[in-house]
Amino acid sequence: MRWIAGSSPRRRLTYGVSDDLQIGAALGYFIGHDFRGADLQEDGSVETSTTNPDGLTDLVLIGKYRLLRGRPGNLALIVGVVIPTGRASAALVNGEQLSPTDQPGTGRWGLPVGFGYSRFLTPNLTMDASVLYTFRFEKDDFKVGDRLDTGLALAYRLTESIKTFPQYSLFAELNDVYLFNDRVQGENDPNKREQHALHHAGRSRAVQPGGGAGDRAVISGDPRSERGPGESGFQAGDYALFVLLNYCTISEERT
Amino acid sequence: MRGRAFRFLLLSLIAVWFGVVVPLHPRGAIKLGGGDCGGSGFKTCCHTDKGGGGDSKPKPADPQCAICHFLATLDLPPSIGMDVPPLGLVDQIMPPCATGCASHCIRFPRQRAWAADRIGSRRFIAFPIFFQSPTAPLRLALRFFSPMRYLFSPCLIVLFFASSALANHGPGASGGGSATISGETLLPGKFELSLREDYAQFEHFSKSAAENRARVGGRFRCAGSRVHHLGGG
Repeated sequence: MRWIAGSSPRRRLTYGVSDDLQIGAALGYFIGHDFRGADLQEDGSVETSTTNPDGLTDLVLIGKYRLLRGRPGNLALIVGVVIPTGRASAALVNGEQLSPTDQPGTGRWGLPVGFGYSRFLTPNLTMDASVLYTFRFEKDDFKVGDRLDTGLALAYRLTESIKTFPQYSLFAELNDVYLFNDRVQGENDPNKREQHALHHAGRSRAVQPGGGAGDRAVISGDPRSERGPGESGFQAGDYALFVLLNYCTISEERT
Repeated sequence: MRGRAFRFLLLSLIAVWFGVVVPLHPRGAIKLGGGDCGGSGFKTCCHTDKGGGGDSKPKPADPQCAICHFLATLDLPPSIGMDVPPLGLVDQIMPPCATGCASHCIRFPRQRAWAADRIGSRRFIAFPIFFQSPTAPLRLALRFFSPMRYLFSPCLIVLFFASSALANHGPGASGGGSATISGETLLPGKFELSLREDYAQFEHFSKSAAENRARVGGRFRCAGSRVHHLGGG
């Protein structure tokens, strides 16, 4: 049995500008396998074609400004811009170009806006919550659907002292990604509605090498995803897996 | 769609209001109109002075703080006690008259049947849902285990722990999720590099299956995976 699969490695670099402001850039590379398209012709026959789309994704610049800090936790405003630098010319073998939603890069500008919130619940238990809405601009009578990301994560530090490295933690995470319908010539495209419900559980590790730096490696899995080609039915996801390696220079503990 | 968005907005509003605005608001920023704390008979938390802690937020003892007044006058439902009092023989009573009990049960309303009893000092009222319809227990179970409860329960957990928050945590220092964005920011001059690999495997559609879908809908596309442009902390 063959399966449709895809992967998208991403790289993100973040820099602390001031005590409450950080900026970052994210860029990915999309690799898709066995993308299949089928179109009903006027004579009743069906033309099928396949492709393996790949290419750079859109560049995302993100700024995060912390509005609140201290005992009630940290609340940050997130504002960014999606720059259409990714590949938007992938096509099927028969020459038909893929829709912007199926391309590695959408070819459209976007504006992500949201909030992130973090706090200690107990000395060992931390909580992170975020909501991010990405508005996408229309181009060539095609508007890629907006996107709403929400997440809630609980992490428990197994290492007793926060100053002791390496640190080991367990976390559970609930994420939801809602993609609004694409709009083609002002009308909703029912074939491009997608909704994800991702449940993550895993472990994290934080070590402190020389010079007061720290890195974090996260492995998680068991999410579920669903993709709905509208009136033609839906395509369910079997599983997804991602690995996140995070390197962060931290010279002092924040309390 | 609208209902879903509304529920998300409502939950977010509740979480921000009770988790951030209420504990953080500058006391007295929004004042009550009229006299002191709405007159006599009102409770207020504005008079409490903790003597200055490490919190940098101003805490003026302003009795006219509207948010404190709102919290102090919230009419919250009483908490449910789950403790069971010690059991034992209390008294011996004679069984009631059978005829009188039978006539009472016959006239007992089917839909509004209820029984009351006292356990300790608390009064419990139980609705015998099994008397209402055969499907009532199933409907009650479905209502109790609805997906919204799973979404709402994290908010309740957050609110439960809201008063015990101690401090913030730095990125990489502890915890954190994988796709949830934190409220932390990096220290000035520091950087963070994230390398993330996503892999998604979707349901397979053969050529014939894709053709059948296309005959129904006119057009069919099955893709490998979506690109997640943002993620992590």
